[in-house]
Amino acid sequence: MALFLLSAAPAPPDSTVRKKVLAIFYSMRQAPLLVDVDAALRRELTDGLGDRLEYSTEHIDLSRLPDPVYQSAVRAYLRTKYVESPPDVVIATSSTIVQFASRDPLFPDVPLVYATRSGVTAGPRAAGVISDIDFRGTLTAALDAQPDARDVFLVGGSAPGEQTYLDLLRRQCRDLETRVTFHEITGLSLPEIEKRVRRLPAGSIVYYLGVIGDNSGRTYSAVEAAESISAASSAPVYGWHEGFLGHGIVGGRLHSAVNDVRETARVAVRVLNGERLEALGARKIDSGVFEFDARQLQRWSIAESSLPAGSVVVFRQPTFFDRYRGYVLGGLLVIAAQLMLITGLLVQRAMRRRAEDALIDATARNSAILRAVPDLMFVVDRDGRYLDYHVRDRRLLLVQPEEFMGRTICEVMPPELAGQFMDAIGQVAGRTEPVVIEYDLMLDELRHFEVRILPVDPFRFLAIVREVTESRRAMDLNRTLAGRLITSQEDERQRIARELHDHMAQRLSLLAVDLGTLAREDGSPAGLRTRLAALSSHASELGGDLQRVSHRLHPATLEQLGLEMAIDAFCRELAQTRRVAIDVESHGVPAALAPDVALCLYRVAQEALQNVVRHSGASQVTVRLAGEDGVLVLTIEDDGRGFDAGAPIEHAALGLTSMRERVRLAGGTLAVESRKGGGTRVEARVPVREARSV
Amino acid sequence: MSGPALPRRPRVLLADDYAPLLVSWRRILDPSCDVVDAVGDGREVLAAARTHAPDVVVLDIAMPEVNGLVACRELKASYPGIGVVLVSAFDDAAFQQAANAAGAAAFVVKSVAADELERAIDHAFSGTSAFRAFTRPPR
Repeated sequence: MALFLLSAAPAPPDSTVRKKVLAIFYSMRQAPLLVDVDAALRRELTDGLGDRLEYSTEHIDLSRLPDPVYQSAVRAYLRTKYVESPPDVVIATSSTIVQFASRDPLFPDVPLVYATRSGVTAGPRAAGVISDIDFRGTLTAALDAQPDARDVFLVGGSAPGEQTYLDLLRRQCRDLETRVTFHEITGLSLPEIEKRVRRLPAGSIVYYLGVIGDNSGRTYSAVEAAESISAASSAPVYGWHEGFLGHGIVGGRLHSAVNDVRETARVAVRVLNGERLEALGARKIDSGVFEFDARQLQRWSIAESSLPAGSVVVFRQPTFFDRYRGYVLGGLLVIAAQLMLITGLLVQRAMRRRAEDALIDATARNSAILRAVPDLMFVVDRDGRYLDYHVRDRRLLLVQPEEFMGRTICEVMPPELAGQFMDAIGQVAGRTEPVVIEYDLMLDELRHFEVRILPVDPFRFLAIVREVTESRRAMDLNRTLAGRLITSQEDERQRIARELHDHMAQRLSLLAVDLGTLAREDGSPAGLRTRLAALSSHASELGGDLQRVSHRLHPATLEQLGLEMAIDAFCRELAQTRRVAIDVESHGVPAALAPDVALCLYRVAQEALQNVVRHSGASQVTVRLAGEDGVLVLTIEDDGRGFDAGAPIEHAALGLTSMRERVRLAGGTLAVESRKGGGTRVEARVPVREARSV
Repeated sequence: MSGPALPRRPRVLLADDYAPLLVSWRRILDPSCDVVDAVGDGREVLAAARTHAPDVVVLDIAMPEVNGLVACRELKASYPGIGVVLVSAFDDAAFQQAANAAGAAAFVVKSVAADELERAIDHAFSGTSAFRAFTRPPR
C-alpha cells in the first residue's frame, strides 16, 4: 500500500527548469474584460511557479474565428511560432478556445489545461475546469427585485459565439416562460438598441448578454455597450458577466472569468509539477456570485432586502447621511419617535430588523435608517438655494432634481409656501431647535406635509420633509371617534338619568305622598298610621337616592338652573365635602346657552376641579366664567403643586385629553398651564351658541 | 287646615308635568284649599293664572317648555301679590336658592309629607316676603 502511494505521488518539482505557459485568449489583448482575466491568470501562475514561469499569451480574434481559412492560418502561424520552443502547457481560457485548440490539436504533445463549459470537451491530453454560466440566476434575482415584471428584453450581439449565450439562457430559463414573456433584441446596431430600450413597458427587465458585433459587421466593446444601453434604458438592466458591473448594469449572478482562470492556473501548476492529466481530469466549479451596483439599486429604487441572500453590493457612494449625519440624526430621532407612536409594533419590528442589519455594515446602516424614514431631505443655503438633496424614492419628488438643484426655493415653490420656508430659515439661523412647518398640497388629493428646518452651519440648512397625510387622517379619525364616544356617552347618561328621574323617582315621590296622606287619615289605628308614615319616609328617601344617581349621571342642575348656577352648586358641594376654598365668579353668561356648550363647560369644570381636589393639594381655587364678544371663557386656577404640562402620561392621568376633546367638539380651545410647584391654570374658550328658542 | 283663622280658603293653582301627582295633591289639598286648576307645563300656568286669579301657585321646577323658575318670575312680574310655592324632586341647596331668587315664597321637596305642602301654601298665602324651604329632615 505504502509503495503504491509512493509511486502515485508526483515527482518533486525541479526548481531550476523554466516552465513555459502559453495562454490563449479569445479576444483582443486590450479588451477591457480580458485585462483583469490576463492579470489574474499570470498572478496565480506566478504564485505557483515563482521565477520558473515563462508566460506568453496569444489573442485570437473571436469575431473571425469561424472562418476555416482564418482558423487554419492562425493554427499554422502558432505552430510555426512555437516550433523552436514549444510551451510546456497550453491554457485555453474559454470554451471557444477549447474547441479551437482540440478539434485539430494545436500542439498534439503539449498538455492542454482549460476553462470550459458543459458540452464542450477537450481531447485526451487535457485537464481543467468546467464552469457554467448561471444565466438563470441573474433572471431569478431580477424577478425577486421586480416581482411584477412581465417582460424580459434579452439584449445580445450577433458576433460568432454570441448566439450561444442566448441559446444557453433560453434553455436554462425555459420554465420561466410561463411567468414572463421574452423579447429578443439581437443583431441591431448600438444606436438601434438604445432606441429600443428607451421606451419599454413599465416594470420591464432588460437582460444584457453582451454586444460585441451587430448584423452589419460592426464590432463593439461589450463593456462600453453595457454603459450606453444602461444609460438609455427605461428599465433596469441586469447582466451575467462580472466585467459588466460598474458599467450600468444593476447586477445579477455574475460569472467570474477571473475565478475560472485562477482555478485553471492552479490545474496548470499541478500539471507542470508533474501530476498526471488523467488524475486531474475535468472538475466542475462554480464561479457565480450575486453582485450588485449600489448606484443602480438606488437609481431604480430596488431595495437591498429584495436581493438574494449573500449578495455583494459594491460601488456604495458616501451617502447623504454620511455627509449630514449629525444633523439628520437629530431630526430623525424626533421623527422616529413619532413614527413609533403611530405605527407601533410593526415599525418597531422593522426597525429592529434594520438595526440588526446595521450592525453588519455601517454604510448599510446609514442607508437603512434613511430608508426607514419616508423623507425627502434638502440642503439649502441662506438664500434658499438647493445645494444637495436625498430622496428615498424619486417618485416622492414633485419636481425633479434637474429642475430645482442650483435654483432657489422662491423660484421652485408656490410663493406663499416659499415665503413660509424662507421665514423659517431666517428663524432657525443660530438656533439648534428645528422650526416645523406644516403645509397642505392639492395633488391627486389633499395631502399634508411637515417640514423640519434646522441649521447645518451658519450658511446651510437642512430641510427634512415628511408626508403626514396618513397620520393626519388617523389622527382625524381618532378625534372623530373620540368625539363620537363623548357625545354618545353623554347621550346615554342623559337618557338613563331621565329614565331614573321621570319614571322611577317621580313614582317614588308619588308613593311617598300617597303613603303620607294615608298616614294622616282619621280613623286609622294609630299603629298603622305610624307605619304608613315610616313607609312614606322610606319611599321618599329612595326617591332622593335615585335623584342623586340621576344627577351624577347627568346634572339636573344644569338643565334646570343653567350653567352658572350648576357650576356654583357643584363648587359649593365640593368645597363642603373636600374642605377647599372655591371662589366662583361669573359675568356675561347668556341665559339660554345651547345645552351642548353648557354641558361641555360644566364637564370641564367638573374634571378640572376634581383634579384639583385629588392631585393638587391646593387650598384656594378660583373658578371664573365670563362671556365676552361671543366667547365663553371658563378658568379654573389653583395654588396647588402643579405638574409637568408637557408630559403625556400626566395628560392621560388627568383626563386632559378628554377635556380637550370636549372643548374641541364645542368648537373651542383648551389651554393648560402648569409647572411643578407653581399651581395650575386651565382655560377653556368656547364660542357662545344660544339654545334654540322654543 | 291648622294655624290662624283666615278670612277665606286660598285659591290654589297646581302645575306639574306628572299627572298622577296632581291627582294626589288635589286629594290632599281639597279639605283646606280651593284647587282652581291643575296644568302640565309652565306655559299653561300663565294662561290659567290669568283666567283663575289664584292666591297661590304650586309649581314644579322641572317642567318641559317653560320651566317652573321661568314661570315663577313671569307670574311675579305680572301679579306681584301672588304667592308661589316651587317644588322640586331634588333636595338641593342650589334649587332652594334658585327658587328664592325667582321670587318664590316657599320651596318644597316633592316627596315631602302632605302637611308640609299645606304649611308651604299657608306661608305663601300669608303674603309674607320671607322665603321658606320645606324639606325632608336629613336622615
